[in-house]
Order: sequence, then structure tokens, then C-alpha cells
Amino acid sequence: MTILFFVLCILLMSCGNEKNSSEIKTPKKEYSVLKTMSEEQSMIKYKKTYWMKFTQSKQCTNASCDMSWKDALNACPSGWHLPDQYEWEMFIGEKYPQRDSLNIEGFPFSNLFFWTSSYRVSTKKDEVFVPLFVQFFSSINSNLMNSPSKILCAKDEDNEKSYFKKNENFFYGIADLELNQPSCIDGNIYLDYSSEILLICDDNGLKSLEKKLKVISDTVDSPIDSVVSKIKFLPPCSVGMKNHTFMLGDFRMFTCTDYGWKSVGILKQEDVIRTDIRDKNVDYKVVRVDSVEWIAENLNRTVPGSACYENKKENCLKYGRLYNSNVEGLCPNGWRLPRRRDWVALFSRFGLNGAYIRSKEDWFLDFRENKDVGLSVYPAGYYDGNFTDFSMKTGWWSYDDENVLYAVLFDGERFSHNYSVEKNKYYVRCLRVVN
Amino acid sequence: MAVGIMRNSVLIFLVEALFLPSICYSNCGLKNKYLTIPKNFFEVVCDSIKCAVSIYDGAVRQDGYGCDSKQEFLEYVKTTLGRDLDEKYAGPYMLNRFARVYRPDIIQSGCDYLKVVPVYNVDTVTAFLEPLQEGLCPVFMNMNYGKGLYEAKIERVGPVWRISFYHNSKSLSDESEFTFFERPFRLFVEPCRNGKCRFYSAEKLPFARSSYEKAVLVNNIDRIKAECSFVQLIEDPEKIGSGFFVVNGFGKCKIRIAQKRGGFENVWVNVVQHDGMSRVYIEGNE
Repeated sequence: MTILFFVLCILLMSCGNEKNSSEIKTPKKEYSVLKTMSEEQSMIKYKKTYWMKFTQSKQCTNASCDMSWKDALNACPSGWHLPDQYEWEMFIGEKYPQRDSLNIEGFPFSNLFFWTSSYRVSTKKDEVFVPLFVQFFSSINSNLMNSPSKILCAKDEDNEKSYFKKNENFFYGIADLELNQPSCIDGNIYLDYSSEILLICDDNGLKSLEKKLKVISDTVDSPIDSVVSKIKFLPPCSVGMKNHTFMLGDFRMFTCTDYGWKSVGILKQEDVIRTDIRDKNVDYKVVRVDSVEWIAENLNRTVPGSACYENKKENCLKYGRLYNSNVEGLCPNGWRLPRRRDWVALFSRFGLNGAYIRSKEDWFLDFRENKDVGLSVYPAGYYDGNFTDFSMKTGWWSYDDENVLYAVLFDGERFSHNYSVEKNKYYVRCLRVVN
Repeated sequence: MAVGIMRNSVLIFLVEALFLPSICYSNCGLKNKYLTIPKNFFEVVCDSIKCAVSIYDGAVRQDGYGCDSKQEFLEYVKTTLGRDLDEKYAGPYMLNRFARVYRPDIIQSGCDYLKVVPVYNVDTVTAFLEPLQEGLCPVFMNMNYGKGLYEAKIERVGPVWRISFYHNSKSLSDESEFTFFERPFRLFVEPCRNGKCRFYSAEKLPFARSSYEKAVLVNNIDRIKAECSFVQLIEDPEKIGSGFFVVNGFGKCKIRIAQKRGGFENVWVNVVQHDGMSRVYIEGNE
């Protein structure tokens, strides 16, 4: 009986009541029934966050109310907030005993859409800020059509942090006043990207504080396990990003703290130095990037099992040799195969911009620019049973963070990897760390 | 728990349980987000003369609308969309779907051997397509679901035409400076605005980047030439297309596109004037 009661409550709540019909009692009835429950009974607690069991906001008086993202950002009652994507991910992603009883506890059906306070940013001119929403209680997507959706409100156990709302060294997210500015959360501070002027969200509009962000101009070493991105705009500094460092396309670094984004400086970039070394009567071109020396060409030592692309000698001369997975001892003394972290450090050092790494010639795609620092990566393909991807991609033997041998691939713009490499042949580039 | 409240409300909810199936569907005309969108967002039915295209634009579909009766649905469409739907639909284009009223730009044919003819008085049909010859033709479908460039394969099967549409999906990633397509195509030109017409040309990659990225949009305007005096070429600063044609005349023109793997793609186009606006179509065989 108890179960039936709650199931019926939920079914009624999930149906619209735009049209009154003589057979149906108005939904407001069950809503007013629920309203008499105490606040504790209308919430679910998960870890340190309370989640409201149904949409109960300033704008909505009925549990099935949909609203725009703009309205959703500020629709939660005082003391509550619209959860961001990471809070949602934690809530729907992890199992906890109460989740199985969600429907019975009075939670809305899982086939509904809920807003998050997060937005996705892109470099596209007409699609700078795209809000994210929760779908079917299982995944988070971009809401490209901006269709109205529902909300659930959350609040932290230790109450909302108001510190960063007043401190002008921290900001919640980036806004661009010339393009589509995101709708904002009242009281939060945002940063206009182009002018670096701080903006406060006041009554759903962004107003200038007439103060600039205090940007630290000191250079910082790139923490190589940080997330570095060449996006122009930062998303809101939310739960899942705490202590991560992001770098914008202009090498400015920001760390997400408990209170919002904080400027930490500019990526340190030492000059890239080109030298030559000689090892066992072989000359190698070397490029030094920060504290790492990379041999600036693929290895061309003849060993059993190695091959030229399409078995053509001229390809070995220009692009080096393709080797099978017996990579022990291939690099000259004192040098080694790259690890994943080496590639990450290299790529982030150049702002994730392949223009600094790829060669000027032989690429099929007409890249807009080339800033080859000397590494001159050619799209020399590789072997995976067939010779493949010439002029589009290349790959090298590398080790991952667990010392597993795999292949790291580069297509001129981004890196990828492949673990199914047993019978494949890839190129070899060696490096060494210098003090 | 709230036993007291429960006791008082049990009777009410037991009564309502009898109406359970209809409760959720009492709201006729709600925009149902959970519609299953068909694999093709449009249907094409042909006879020996022409083909009818019906586009589901997501707004009009009876079975998703939660109406208790067909009459209720017809009334809803009348009041909300301002359209009178006849319960009977004329053949041979009888379909069980409802199509949107034709908008001028909803179907854009890229070639002069596939004409788009607007339809105003048959509710199940968005537009007619009149093929004049067999071949491939790029068609842009400007609708909400399934928007994008399609490759229309026009064939004659016995006495009847057949047009198969293949969605040439475009890569959506903004991490690349290039736009990739699933299939290469020689040329597609959008309707012109003030004499400027954005065009696209995608050439085949030597190796696919992924299963959906086998062709790349040509974005280097230096590789493209218009061999006639009334068509000039300018860059597309937004890099959405390959470039813009600037037309100040009409007639036939040869467009020459240098291919990365060598040689040229030559495309003959027909520049025409429609209601004071220019259109550039790929020309059919004479």
C-alpha cells in the first residue's frame, strides 16, 4: 500500500496538467500533500550534499515545470543552488543503497531532463556557451536546442560558500560580452575574456565591477599532469575541477580552488634549442625543449624485423625505419623511448598546437600555419598489417604510465594511442632528460 | 512515515488508479521530447514523373502527441499551428505522417537536374522533387532533426524514379581546423544572398581519419578557380564553407578545383536568377 501510494504520487507528478479534464483531479492536489512533509522528508542526502526531491523553486509551483537555463540558474530557493555537472555526475554515477529506491522515495522519474549549472565552451563563434543537462538520470549532454527542462536543487552540508562572491581575485567562469554571454548566477563574479574586466551577476545580468582581474605575470612550470587546453574560454570552476590547472590558448594558467578560478601565472617557456650530437659515428639532430632533449628525427638503424614504409629505401632515408615491438636497446646509450608523460609535457609546452611539432611538408591536409621548432614530425604512416596512413598520421613506440609498451600516434593536430600493437610496426624517437 | 496522510489519501489515489492509462495522455499536444525519431527524418515516394518528400520536423506527429482521439489532435493542430488537416489524404502520396508546410529553404537542391517544387496544399508532402536525369546530386536539408548535406542518388527503376538519400555527416569537433565529411562531393552551393553564395567542396582523404571522416572540406581558396567573368571567388572568413562565389551575371561557368592527390575536379555550374536572387546549380549532362 505504501509503495502504491508513492508510485501513484510520482505518476501524477510526472504528467502535465496543462489541460483539465473531467476525469482527472488537478495535480496541485498531490503537490499540496507533499508540501506538508517536513523539509527532511523532502530531501535526500548523498555524501555532503542535500538534494531536493522535486522541483521546488521560486518560479515553479508544480512539480513538472520546465524552464529555460537562464531561469534555472537562479531558480533555487535561498540556501540552495543549481548543481553543476560534476555534482550530478557524482550523484547519478555512483551506486548507493538509496538510489534503487529513488522512485519510491519521491524522486521524479528518471526519464526527465534536468539542467546543470555547467556549460560547455567551444571555439565556435556562434556557439560559445552551450548549457549541459542531465538526461535519463544517466548521462550529461549539451543542450544544443536549449529546450526547457526541469531542475533539482542541492545544498552543501556546510552551507553555501559566499567567500568567493566577494573576493575579486576569484571568478566563477568566463563571459564574453561581445558574443553570447552565458546566463549568470546571481552574486557570482565572472571574467570578461577580452577585457579581463570583472563582472558581477546582478539580477540575471552581468554588470562591470570596473576592476580588472589581478593576473599573476610570473611564469610557472607546467605541471605535466594537469589538464591543459587551448580553449579560449574556461567553463565554471566546479566540483570536479578542484586543484586542476587549465591553460588558455595564450598560455595563461588558472587553477580551480575552493572559491573559484585563480590566476597562477604564465606558462614558462624556455627557448627551444637545436643542436647536433654524434653517437657511434652517427649524427643526430636534437631539439631541446625545456629540460628534455628529443632526437629530432626517427631512428634509422637497420635491425632484423625493421622495414621502410612500403619497403621503399627512400622512405627510410627521409622518415626513418619502422620497428616491431622488440624495442630493447634501440635508442643510443643514455637515451630512451618516450613515456606518455613526455608526450603530454611536449604537447602542452606548445599549447596543444600541432603547428609547433609537425613538418612543413608531406601532410595531405592544408594546415593554416607551421611553426616547426625543429621536431619536424612527418606524416610517415605506420604498419598494422598494411602500410597505412601515409600523409595523414604517424606513430611511435612508447610506454604508458604503467610501463606498458604501446603506440602513440599523431595526426598533425592531436595525439592518440593504440594498445593493439602486437604485430604492428612503428617509428622510434628517443629522448633524454638533462639537468 | 507519513501514515496519517497516507490513510486519508489512499481512497483518492485508488480511484485515480483506474484512470492511470489516460492520466499521462490527457495532455493533448504536449511536445513530447521522448519521441522516437525515425532513422530517416523524411520519406520519399516516387512515381514516373516526380517524387514527394515528407519531412518530419519534429513538431507534428500524431502518435507522440498524447491525444485521446484523432479529432482532438486535429483540433489541437488547428488552434496551435493554424492548420486545417483533412482526415483523408490524397494518393499516390498517401502517408501516415504529417509533414510541415513547405518553407522556401527547407530543401536545397545543388543541381539543376533535380528541381524542388513547393507544395502548399497537401499536408503530408513538404515538397516535390522533379528529377531530369540519373546521377548524384548534393541536397541540403534545412530542418531541425537530421539537418545537413545529403547525397541524393537519382535512378530510374523501370518506369518509376527512385531517389535514395544518404546523410553525408559532417564532423562536429571543434578541435580541428578542418571540417570532415563522411563522403566526398564535388560541389554544393548555398542559395546566394546579395550576390554572395557560400560553397562547399570535399575531397577524399588518402586514408580515413575515422569511419565518419573520409573526406575533408577544401578550405584553401587558392586551389579553386572560376573560369568565367561573372563569378569571382573570395574566402570564407568563418571557415564554414570552402569559400564564396560572388556572382554578377548568369550563365554557365566552369569551376576548377585542384586536388591534393593531383589533377583537377572540373564542375560545370549554371548561374540562374530566381525572383531577383542568384542560384548556382551543378549542371546536368546535355
